[in-house]
Amino acid sequence: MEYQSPYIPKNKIRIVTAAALFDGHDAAINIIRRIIQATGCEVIHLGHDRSVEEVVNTAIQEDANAIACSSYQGGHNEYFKYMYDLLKERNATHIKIFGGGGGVILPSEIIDLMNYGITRLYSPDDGRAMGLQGMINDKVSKSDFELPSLPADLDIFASLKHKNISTVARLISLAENKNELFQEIFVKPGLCASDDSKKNPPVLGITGTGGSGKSSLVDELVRRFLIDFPTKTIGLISVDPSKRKTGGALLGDRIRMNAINNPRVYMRSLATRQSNLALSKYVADAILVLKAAEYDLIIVETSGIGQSDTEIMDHSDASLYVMTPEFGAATQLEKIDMLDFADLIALNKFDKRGALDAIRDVKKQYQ
Amino acid sequence: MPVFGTIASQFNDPGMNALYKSVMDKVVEKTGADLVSTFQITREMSEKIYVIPPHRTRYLSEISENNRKYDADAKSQVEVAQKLYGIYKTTESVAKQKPRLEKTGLTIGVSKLSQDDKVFVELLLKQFEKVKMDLSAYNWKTILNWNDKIETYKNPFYSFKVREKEIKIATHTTSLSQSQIPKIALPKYEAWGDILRWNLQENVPGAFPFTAGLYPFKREGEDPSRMFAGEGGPERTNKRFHYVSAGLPAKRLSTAFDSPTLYGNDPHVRPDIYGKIGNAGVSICCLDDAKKLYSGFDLVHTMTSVSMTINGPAPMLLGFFMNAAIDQQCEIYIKDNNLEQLVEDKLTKKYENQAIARPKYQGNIPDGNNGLGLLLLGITGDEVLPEDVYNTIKTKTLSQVRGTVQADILKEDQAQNICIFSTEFALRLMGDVQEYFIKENVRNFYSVSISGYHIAEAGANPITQLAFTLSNGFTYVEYYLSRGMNINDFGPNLSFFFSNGIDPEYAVIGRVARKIWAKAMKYKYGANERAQMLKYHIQTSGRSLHAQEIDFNDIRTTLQALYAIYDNCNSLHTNAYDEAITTPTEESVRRAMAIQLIINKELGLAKNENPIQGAFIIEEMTDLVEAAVLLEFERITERGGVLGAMETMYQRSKIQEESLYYETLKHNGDFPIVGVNTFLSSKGSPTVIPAEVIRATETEKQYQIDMLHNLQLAAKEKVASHIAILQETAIKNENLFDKLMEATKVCSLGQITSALFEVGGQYRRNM
Repeated sequence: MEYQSPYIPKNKIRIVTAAALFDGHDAAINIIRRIIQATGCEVIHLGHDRSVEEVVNTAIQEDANAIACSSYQGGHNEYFKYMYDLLKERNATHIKIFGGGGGVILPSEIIDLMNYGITRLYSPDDGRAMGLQGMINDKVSKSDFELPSLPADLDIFASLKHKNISTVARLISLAENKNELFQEIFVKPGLCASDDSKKNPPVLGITGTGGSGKSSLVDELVRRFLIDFPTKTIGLISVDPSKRKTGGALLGDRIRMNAINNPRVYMRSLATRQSNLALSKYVADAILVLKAAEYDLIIVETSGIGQSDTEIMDHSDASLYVMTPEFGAATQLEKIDMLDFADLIALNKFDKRGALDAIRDVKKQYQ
Repeated sequence: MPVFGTIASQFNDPGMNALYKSVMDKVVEKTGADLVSTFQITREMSEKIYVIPPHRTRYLSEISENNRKYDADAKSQVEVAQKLYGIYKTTESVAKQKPRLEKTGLTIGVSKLSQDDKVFVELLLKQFEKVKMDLSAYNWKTILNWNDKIETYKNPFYSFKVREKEIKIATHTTSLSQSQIPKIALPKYEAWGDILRWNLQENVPGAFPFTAGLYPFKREGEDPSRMFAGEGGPERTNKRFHYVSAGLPAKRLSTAFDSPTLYGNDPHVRPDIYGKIGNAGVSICCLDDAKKLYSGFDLVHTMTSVSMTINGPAPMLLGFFMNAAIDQQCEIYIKDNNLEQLVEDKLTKKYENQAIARPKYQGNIPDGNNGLGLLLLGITGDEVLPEDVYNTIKTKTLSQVRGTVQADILKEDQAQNICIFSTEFALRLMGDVQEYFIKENVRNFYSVSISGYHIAEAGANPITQLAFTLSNGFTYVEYYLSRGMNINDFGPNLSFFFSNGIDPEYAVIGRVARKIWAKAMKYKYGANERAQMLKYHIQTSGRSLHAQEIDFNDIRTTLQALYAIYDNCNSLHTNAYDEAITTPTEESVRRAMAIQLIINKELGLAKNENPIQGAFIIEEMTDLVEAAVLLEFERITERGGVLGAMETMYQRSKIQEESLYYETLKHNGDFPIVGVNTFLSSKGSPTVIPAEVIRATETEKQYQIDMLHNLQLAAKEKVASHIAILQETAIKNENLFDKLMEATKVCSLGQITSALFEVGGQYRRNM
């Protein structure tokens, strides 16, 4: 098959990818999500065995343009239709649904599902005719649209106060995509900052080296918080790097998390959208939105950072630095700025060799 | 000091607890937020709960070393034997008579020899004695007994013992041409080195290292065919089981479950669950389902054997199965003692009096089903019978049931993605089941089927399939040993499951597996003979079936089945030709079954039971694959053993890489596949689209949901206490399977799964 060049998106496109509920076949969706990333999109990847509700909640919280889901285990008719119904119920039919499932989904079922409202289902023959990149180009171009604007008559702050997820999500998108407009409608009215503690919840900043297990650790904190406080809520922002070459990003924090699928948790993945920063430029704005939505605790997780990065300190009331015992020689610790600033330090993957020596060295450095 | 050692990946890690508490305290201290934590923590440090103790992480390399040492020793002994044979033959030539072979060495009469010859012969005898000191007494005995061994296979009958039972078997079959076809053909080697090498590395079937097979002869009257079924509700699958096993003396039932069951869930009206009920497998969520599924099959009969393809929720399904078997025997007791009225009264009280619909077998009972197992639907034997009677029946049943549960959680994480609990918790459950099996003397049931099938189906080549599967097997061995179980107690409960594709290595996969396992179990772990035997099931490769020219698929399956039967697999499943495009029909399943029957019953060469032994290529391939597997063991050790390698997703990436390699060659045509990328028909061999697909009906799905609802109504009061006991047992780190045996009498699958999530942790997906 001849080389097909990737489609170049006009808008910043965010796509949620997953394999269906009770379905472990993740090989295909893994290939698909890689090509979507390489085509310049931000991909929120959920992995296998995801219920419709998890996928739809994610798409709305993340303000995604589209969902791409594979289903090889049967039950695809119900699965995709239910997805469409749930999106409709939550006024989010602008979110496109793409699907595939090899030969498991019959041609007649593809027609039926597309008539129902699924944007497109790809058959093995489509794959042969269009090629992989061709299929992705089709998907991405159909998802290349500007997100709907907030209704003109919407009382933004009342809506936030009621934790209307669409409003929260759309405002964060506005901050990312049309920051001037965001300042105009959200920051200028001056309602977002307040001394009222209800409107000024604490922000916990979590940072650390790449691969130190931050996402799992955050998930474990969230799990305990939900047990500890049976009525309180959490707003969570996770940042992952954008690729400078393609503009795409793999936002992979959700795949590791089990506790966040709870009505008391809002989570938003942000891509850095610029080179060599551990945070998005719009993190401060996103925090403002979550504060206005009166989440009881806000957690910001950065992408993996280097030794001299302390940016998280500008955004948090309390900070946690996550590292592993594998930092090299003890002298390396002298170079890590966060050890001077962080309120708490977690030496994660404590089962690794040399963990006891490592914790002794870190404690020494911290003093 | 606010520095915390944490293991976030470990469920309920004490270091994480301490960190969480400090995080909340710090937040409150710095901001005065209304978030004062009341979370209870203990002061202990994070400590890894090791599955494999750290000092044992080199286990795979130790096995490689152990097996290589065996081979090196064998080689040097062969060398010694060959020298001895040289001397022996020289002596014979000089003395012009055959020396006598005795336990102590050679003897020969020298009185009639000339003086020169006499001196020479005496020198030779001396040299013989000297060289013989390097030969082990055991190996000398092997050489001495060789001719007797050959004789035993020439005698018309061969008798041997299986579990204290004497079995007498004819050693030959007669062809139409009246040729006597030996079941076991032995080499015609003369030289002792060759004889010894053959005995140490090959040997006859049934003798260490079991290269050619586990038993001296194949079992008569029980072909290794399994009948696979699973669709719709339990009734439909029950009907199918009776259909496929009709007329066959051995009822070897293989069960496929639907995906909600595979993931430990109950049927539900929620559409994303509803759509999957009874599709691609049978829906089983409670004891009554299991009773219906196997009704009409006597589960303690020696010719009945049940296999269940289930992993994460295996302990729960095993609980359903065991209780179904026990209640069958209770039913027989009840009928023998005319206690039916008692059952009727209890049922009336439990259901009609509470205005709850009584559970029943939906639809007509199929032909061949005598109704055994249905009397106690909705009730268990212990609710009817006195405790001592029930317990006697239970003990006896557990020691008799025959079958296999897949329960291999390592390959799930490496290849198949049906994990529900955290890996540590899932392993612990497996260990609990095995401990229970030992305690209750469950001797005829395999607690795990260590599976390479899914590894191969995900794209691994045969060497990787074998290496990963065996390494997983040894990981269970190490884990069970670390829990204090005796290798001779659990060894016989382990079984294996491989895929047979079309690659050359599949010709020897069974023999290499048996050989590596036996050498390691005998010499590395000191296991007895029964535990040295690797028993395995083969399924022909589903991945090798294609959606184009589907008629050709039966040819592929036939060749793969031939590999398997020639290699003496212990049980075999042949895929239907239409599996690449749809759920097999009764017609296609029948054809698949015919493949096995034709080989076993018609194919003349298959009357011989060691047809591939002695072929140069087979020996060459065996050595090659064996060496490659031992090498892979070392690569895994370098990554910290199987679990260490899993953390960095070593197995997964290797499988993906090999899959991609195959797909690339298939795509560019370098790997020819007839009717797919070469030899296309005039129409281009298009993908075949199934006319219709078998799916569960609305009635079946709805019935499963209603049935579950009624069950939960009837059991409402009991469930909570069972759940509480389960959770408490999990927290106290005691054996959970004991309690699961009780809980599965009343709770549904989903109820148990969610209860265990809270105490064992949910599986965390990897990227």
